[in-house]
Amino acid sequence: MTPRQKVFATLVALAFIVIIVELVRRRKLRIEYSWIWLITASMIMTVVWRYDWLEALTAAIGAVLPTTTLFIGSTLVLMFLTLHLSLRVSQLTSQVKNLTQEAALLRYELSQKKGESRDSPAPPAREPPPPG
Amino acid sequence: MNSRHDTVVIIPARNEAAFIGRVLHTLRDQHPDADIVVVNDYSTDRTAEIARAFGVHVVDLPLHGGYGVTIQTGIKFALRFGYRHAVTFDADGQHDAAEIETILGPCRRGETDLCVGSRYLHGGYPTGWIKRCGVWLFGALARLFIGKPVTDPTSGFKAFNRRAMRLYAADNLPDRFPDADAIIMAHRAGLRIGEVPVRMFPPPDDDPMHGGVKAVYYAFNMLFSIAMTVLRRDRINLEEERPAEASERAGRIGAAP
Repeated sequence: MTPRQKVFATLVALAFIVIIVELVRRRKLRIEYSWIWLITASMIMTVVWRYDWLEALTAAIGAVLPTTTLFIGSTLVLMFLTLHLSLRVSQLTSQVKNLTQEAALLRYELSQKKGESRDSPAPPAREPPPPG
Repeated sequence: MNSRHDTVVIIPARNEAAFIGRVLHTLRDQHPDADIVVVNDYSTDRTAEIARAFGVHVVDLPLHGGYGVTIQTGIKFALRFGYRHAVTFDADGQHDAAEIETILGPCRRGETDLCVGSRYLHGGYPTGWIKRCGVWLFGALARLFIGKPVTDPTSGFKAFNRRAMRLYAADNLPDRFPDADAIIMAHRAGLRIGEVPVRMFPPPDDDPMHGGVKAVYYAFNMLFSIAMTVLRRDRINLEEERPAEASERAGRIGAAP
């Protein structure tokens, strides 16, 4: 790796870390989503300063060029990232579903209590569930 | 229908202004004492307004949830207000109000927990070949896993007792299209499932849920959902919660990983 390449890659990684930290500081990004980006930036940094590790890894996985290892690595990181986001979206979908249903039912109860619609039927008593 | 507050008819509705008036009119005519709740899935037309004019309960979802979420909201309504039985009934006029007692019968007599109204059990219902393939496939899968025939796995005309309602209100319910997968899940949770023949009318427009590209999506979704239902070992509590447990559960929010 030429010194020029090293400086460029280091700057990119540093800029990335600064941006992530700043986003967390401004509360645009939550801490639980920031670690994965910080790890990515650290990985770039590691590869720049310990190029021999990258070469060792390249030999270990049977690749010829270190660039191949880099491509594989970055693809894997991106896949992991999108999977992580899909998991969060799934979790949020269930939470939004439950909140939506609860909001709809509470709004119904509230409108019944307020007696907004005189034409609507008397609300069923919120009675304790029958046995069995 | 007998005593008030024993049974509620749940009508999921999204943009059904053209049909819901006639459906509610027929229901009111044939079951004047029935409790009816229309769960309005964020309609952009006059669905909710028309329903309110009939003096039925109307629950408005604050955003578009889809069929499964709408049905589940109705089930949660029935559980919350202490109904012993619930019937799900389509808003587009496919289901026959005169058959409500038919599907409620087995639940009332304590023979089943969940009773599905089947339009195919006695034949004669006109169906396109795509839907017929789907009905055969998912019916066969349901039969494989629950050990008895399910002739109409996509029927939305179902009767529930409280145990069945608890299953359909559970977080684990496949809430996209709770059809054959939900029936298999109900069986695995220990519910008794029955099927009775009912008369149904052809849908006014081709069933939007099961046609064209959506049919392929539905089939994939359902096959995968059935496979997952069979692989999971869900434990769903079908017994009544004590109020303390209910409030504790409501206060819990999913933690971040």
